[in-house]
Formats: sequence, structure tokens, C-alpha cells
Amino acid sequence: MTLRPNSVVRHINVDPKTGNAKGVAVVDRVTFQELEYQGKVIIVAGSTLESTRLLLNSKSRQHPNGLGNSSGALGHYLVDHFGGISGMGVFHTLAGREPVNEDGKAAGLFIPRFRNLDAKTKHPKFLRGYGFECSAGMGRNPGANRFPGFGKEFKDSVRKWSTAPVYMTTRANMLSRFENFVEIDPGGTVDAWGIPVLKIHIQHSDNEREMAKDAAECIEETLKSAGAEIISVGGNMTAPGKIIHELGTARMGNDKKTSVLNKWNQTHDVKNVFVTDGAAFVGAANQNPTITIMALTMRACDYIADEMKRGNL
Amino acid sequence: MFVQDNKQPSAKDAPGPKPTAKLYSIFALQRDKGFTGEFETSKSKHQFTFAPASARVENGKLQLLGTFRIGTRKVENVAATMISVQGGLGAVPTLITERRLKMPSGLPLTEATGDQGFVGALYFQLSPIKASALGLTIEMSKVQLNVRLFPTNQVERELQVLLSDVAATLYGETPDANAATPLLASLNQIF
Repeated sequence: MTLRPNSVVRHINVDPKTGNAKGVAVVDRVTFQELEYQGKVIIVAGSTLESTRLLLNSKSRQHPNGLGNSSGALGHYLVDHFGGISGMGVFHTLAGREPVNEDGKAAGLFIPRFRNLDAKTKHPKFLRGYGFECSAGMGRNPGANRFPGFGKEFKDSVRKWSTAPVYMTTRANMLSRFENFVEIDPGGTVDAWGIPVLKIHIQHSDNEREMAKDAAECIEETLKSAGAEIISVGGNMTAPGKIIHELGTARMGNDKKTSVLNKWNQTHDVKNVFVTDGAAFVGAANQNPTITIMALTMRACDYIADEMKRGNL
Repeated sequence: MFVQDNKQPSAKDAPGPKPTAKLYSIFALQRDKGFTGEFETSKSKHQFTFAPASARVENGKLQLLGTFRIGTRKVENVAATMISVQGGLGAVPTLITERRLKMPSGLPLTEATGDQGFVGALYFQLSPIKASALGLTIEMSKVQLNVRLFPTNQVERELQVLLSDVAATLYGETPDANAATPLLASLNQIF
């Protein structure tokens, strides 16, 4: 295998006779030299937005709206998780301990999703749900900005309570909606190598806002039930992109009229192009996505190897 | 699996003159009233500034007119047309938080968007620049100027808010050039 670093892919080249991919056009990141490579199979795994950008930039006579975009779904259904709704409390039993640096100790806690799992847990105002990432214990930062006061009393208060904090923060599912999409910037913005960039259109809906309101209420209820004194609860939802779990835009599906990829991460339109990253996701759920991306990629690789042995690729 | 395409020039396909390298986009930071950055050509680094002298609306887009300098050399009357913007994340500028509106529903807000939104990066298309006037042998017929805003003084903060308002007015869902008029007056006052 030859690994060629510093290669920025401009677009995927297509065989004009078959419509299948035949290689990639590349510009060297450092020298700006233009190169072309040929291959039997093209695997796109540049991360969610870069993969979709490459497909949208790969226009040809056979694929006028971008490679793999006969459905019109390419670029659509962009999601990210949202956070920003959090809470902090202190436990009286831990207050005033001998201060030690507990940064890095195993004090993490995850509360999995508990809303809309079945009829009993159905929430009347939103679909799907969220989980909580929690932590406790002293860190390098005593969190003094969260306590009111001034002078000696303030310092004493920080010393007393900085040994006793517990934190909860939300990781929530943003619904996949067609209206949240990316496109090649119609303004003509390009990157340093002259390659058109994406323009991103995404915003939260009332489903996410209702979920955020419920999460804040649940944080307060949970901390109080555990015996904590509430210091702060609430916050603003993180703007899409802030959690860096961007997913979707080249969604999988059985119907090639409504999806870009099949269940093997293979484009419906071009059988020798595969997309094996977060772009393939149909929804975000509320869990971190990396392990799922790895599992889907392993499955796709097995399929590619089998199909090549059979002579289908 | 991959094989580099071997393209050997034939005798009948003799190579022409080597094309001049093309500069696609350059990066700058907001510094006071202008933008300062650096780019590299043939292993040489060039520090540049673009200093806007005036602002206007041209074909519905913001256009800044100013001087492009590299060292002591300069090209005047360069037009920088704002083609796109990117929203900022994180701490919302105080001038924007002060006027933020609360959502009537009482539901949580999304940080740094809507009424709290502000620009974090600006993308300008520069009018063609005669590179030889700057002492360069590179094509600068269609250079994009990418500006990151990270205000550190009052002038930069005021410009960020004004440019955020211009972006919302001219590049939002319902562009309104008339609404941009007082904003342009404020921009020109600063320039």
C-alpha cells in the first residue's frame, strides 16, 4: 500500500461510459501540484461534512447534482448533539474536606436516556431523548465564579464548598430534519486550494427546545433527590456544531429515492463508491458516535472484500 | 489498490510555458480598522494588510474599498466584496447580549444564534490585483480574503457588532439593503 500524505482531494473522477468512479483528482497541499489517481473502489471517509462536500463537488454529466445524489438527499438531514444545559450542586457531607487535587480520578457517571423508551416513558412534548454526563470531586479549578460573595467570607465559602461539587450536563438527540442541510456555497467561497466550500444551514426546532427545558428540570430534580444543594441549573443550548458530533448528510436507507447509501455504506448510484463515516448516519441518538462509525466501517470493509473476491467490484 | 496515473508528454504534445502559480485564498486577522495576515509563495513569506477606507453596498453585498499593502508596496482602490460569513461560537459580545430579546415561549435559547448571533469569520472576494505592483510573480486575479474576528479593543468590538448587523441585514433570510444604510454610515465613520 502507498500512503500519499498532503493530498487534498478535489473531486471524484467518473468513467463517462459507465458512470462508475474511476479515481480521484488531487491537489498537493504544499506544492499545489495537480495529480490524478485511479482505483477500482473509492472509499470516502473524510468526516461527515468533508465527505459530503467531496460528493457534492463531484459533478459530472452522469451525476449533475453531485455524485450519489439522484435522490436529492445528499447534504440533507444534518444533525449534531446538543449540550449546554447543565447543573451544579454541592453535597453538605463533602463540604470542608482537606483539599486535594482529584482531577483525573475515576468519578465519571453516565445516566442513559430514560425518555420515550416505551409507552410509560413517553413525553408529551418531544420525541427521542437525552442522557446526562456527570462528574464530581475537586479539580484544579475550585469553581469560585459560581459562588456569590466578597472578601474573607467569599474565600472561606469557596474553600468550604469547592470540596463538594457534583456536575451534570446534557447530551441530547437532535431530530433529523430535511430543512437542516449543507450545500456548496452559492457565494463561491473556496478554500486555500480553490475548492468550493460548504454553506451550512442548521437550527434547533421546538422538539430540541422542549427537550432542553425538560433536561434542566430533570437535573434539578435529580440533584435535589440525591441530597445536593443546587448552585446553578440551566444555560443555553449549544449551537449546532459545538459538540462536534456532526452526522448525517449522506444517509443510509433501503430506498434509493430517499437515501444516498445502502446498508453497506455503498452509494445507491455508483456501486464502487463507499462512504464510511458519520455522514452515513440516519439519526444521532444521544450517544457518542465513534464506536458506531467504526462498526459500520468494519461491516462495509468485509462487504467490499467479499464483493471484490466475487468480481462484483 | 491505487496507481498513480502516468502521464508522459508526447512529442506532439510539447509542454507550453509553465503557468503562473495562482493565489486562491489568504487568511487575515482583524487588527484595529483593518485586516493583517501572511501568505507564502515559492518559499517566501509575505505579510500583508488590507485597510478599508470606505464601505458601500454593491449588488446587495457589502463592499469595502481600501489599500492592499505588502511592505512598502501597495495597490489602492482594492474592492473587497463580502461573499459569505461564519457565525461565532462561545462568549457573545457584550454589545449584543445587552440588546438580546427573550423568546416568548420561555424555552431555552440556543447560544450565539438568533438575536445573540454574531460573526466570527468573514469571506471577501478581492478585485483583481496586479501582483507585480506588490513585487510578486503570482496570479492574483481572484483572491479570497478570509478574516477571523477576535476583537481585543473597543474599535474591533464595535466593528464586529456592525459587521454582524450588516451580515444579518444583507445576507439573512430577508435581505434589506435599505436597513443597511445607517449601518454603512457607522462603518464609514469608523473607517
